[in-house]
Amino acid sequence: MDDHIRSTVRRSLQLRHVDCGSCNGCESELALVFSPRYDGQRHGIDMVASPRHADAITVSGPVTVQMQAALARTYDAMGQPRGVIALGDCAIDGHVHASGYASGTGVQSQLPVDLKIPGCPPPPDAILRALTSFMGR
Amino acid sequence: MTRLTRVRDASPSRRPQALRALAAQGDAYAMGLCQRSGRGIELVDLFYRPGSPLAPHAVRTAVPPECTEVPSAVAALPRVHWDEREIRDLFGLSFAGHPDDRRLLLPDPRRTAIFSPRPVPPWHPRVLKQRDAVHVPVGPVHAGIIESGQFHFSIMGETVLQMDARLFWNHRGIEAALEGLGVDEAVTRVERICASCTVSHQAALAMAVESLAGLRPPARTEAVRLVLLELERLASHLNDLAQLAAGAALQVLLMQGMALRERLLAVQHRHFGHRYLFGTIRPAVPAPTFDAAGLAADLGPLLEEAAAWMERLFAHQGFRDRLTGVGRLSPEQVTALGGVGPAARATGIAADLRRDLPYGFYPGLVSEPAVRTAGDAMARAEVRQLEVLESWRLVREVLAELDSLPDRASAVDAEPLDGAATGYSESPRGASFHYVRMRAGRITRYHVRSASFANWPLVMVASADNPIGDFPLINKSFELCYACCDR
Ligand code: SF4
Repeated sequence: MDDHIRSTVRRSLQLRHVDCGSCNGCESELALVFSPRYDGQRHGIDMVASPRHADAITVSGPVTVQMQAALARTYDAMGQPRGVIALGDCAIDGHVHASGYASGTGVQSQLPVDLKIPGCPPPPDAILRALTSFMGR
Repeated sequence: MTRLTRVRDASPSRRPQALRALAAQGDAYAMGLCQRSGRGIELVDLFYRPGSPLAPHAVRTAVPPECTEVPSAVAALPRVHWDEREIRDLFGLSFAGHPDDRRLLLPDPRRTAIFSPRPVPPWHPRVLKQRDAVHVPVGPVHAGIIESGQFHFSIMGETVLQMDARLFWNHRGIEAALEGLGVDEAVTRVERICASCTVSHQAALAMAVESLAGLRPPARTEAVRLVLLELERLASHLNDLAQLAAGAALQVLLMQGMALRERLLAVQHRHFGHRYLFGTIRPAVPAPTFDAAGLAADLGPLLEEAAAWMERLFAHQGFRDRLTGVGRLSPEQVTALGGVGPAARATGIAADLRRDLPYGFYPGLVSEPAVRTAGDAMARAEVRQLEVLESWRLVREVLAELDSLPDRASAVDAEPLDGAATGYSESPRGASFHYVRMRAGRITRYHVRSASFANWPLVMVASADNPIGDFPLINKSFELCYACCDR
């Protein structure tokens, strides 16, 4: 699966974002990837408005109890092959929010993860580097 | 010092009257919470007197273990509506006469209630059932890079008759997870409640803990905290204005605003080691050292460009046309629901904790709050523009005198921390309050009433009677944090 999604996104990578309990730091940095200094579009990377158009989803946050179903339904709505990107330390393992009645321990407890982008939050240049290397560049 | 010392007791049946009486004599409601006490629980309603130097005070309502229902105070003080619903979810205590019996935090009755003598009905959207009204649900996952929230519109034609929001998708249960922790472990969690408002959360935690320790931070530390708080406001307001440019379909102005924000984050990283200023305020720890003159030199040209960018934005007739008259609120609506921050100031309410409940290095430095009266998206944008300029003035003035300020703390009380205290700050989105109760150095209750928690009900009110196509713009004109609200 991993190799398959990588081989289809060499020239362009269309992403859909799912916030699963982030502090919005990871969102903020991801948004800046598409601002003048970094300009993700020049690498063929862009955000799309529907999971059906997405090659991969970026997921932030520890995956709260509340967001489990929405994450699963977003994933189910994607075409194949599809990738899952854990954006930030919370999405990787829950980070400081890993405990409690309403929180989770990251995306991989629910979905297969193809790419982990560590950081709290990962800055835009790190996100961009991780995405382009995922594309095999 | 904000240790909670002024507490008056009320019985459950007298609580609504007690809250009404305080509001009638001019006290402002800070927050309501519930905590375990002995074998039962107690409600704590916190107030402050705007303009008074006294710390927030409380009405405490003991609820005996056998009691499962108390009278709601919503009729006496409507702004407690969400606080009471949250308490009902978390503690299983019913509020008789509350107009909304749906769950708030987790819509399905799962795990939240610490003890649950009575099940709370699940959440369901409130939808108008009249002829020709159409129900449009949106979210929780959205097309752009935004946080998770769900909006249920009842529309007729283009017009929104009613909007009902289901939030708390990002509810991580942070308050409960803090119980049992010491201060050091709590800090890393509290600062990650929300990246946009992290400094305000760090500052509130520090204020509460230092009050429990009987410690007053040295002048330089207070001054650096002011700089950090105002930098956070600058970064946040610039982002909000850029998002409004996006809402008005002005791509060039959006990208220019994003470029400014990126530069500001880079400057913060250079001087404080973190783009969002995580880890910059620690209770009872002197503020970080940095090159104050260098920071001022980095910020000067950036803020000059930001001021010019804001002038271009506000001079754009398309921007003005798009925002004027959209999502209008009256001061009466804001007062009833307890709205705070730029959203309140845009309706003529001159409320600002930096002046109303002076703290840290602010006394003597702040001027009158920036106020507009139209109550629409344009007024909320204009208030932010004025506040960017004011924040920069504060930062400049404080940086200029920073190196002359003493940095020696008074002796710390070595006893383990015990008791309850409040902490607060005027966050970018308005008044934000924290409540901390500790026993032998461990947290036994932590509660956060963020500005976004106070203001989300305003978004629902402001959306009604506007075209559904204006909702994204109305939402951006408040630009509330889901993370701060949901915790
Ligand atoms: S990894 Fe850090 S920045 Fe990202 S959501 Fe978690 S706490 Fe926030």
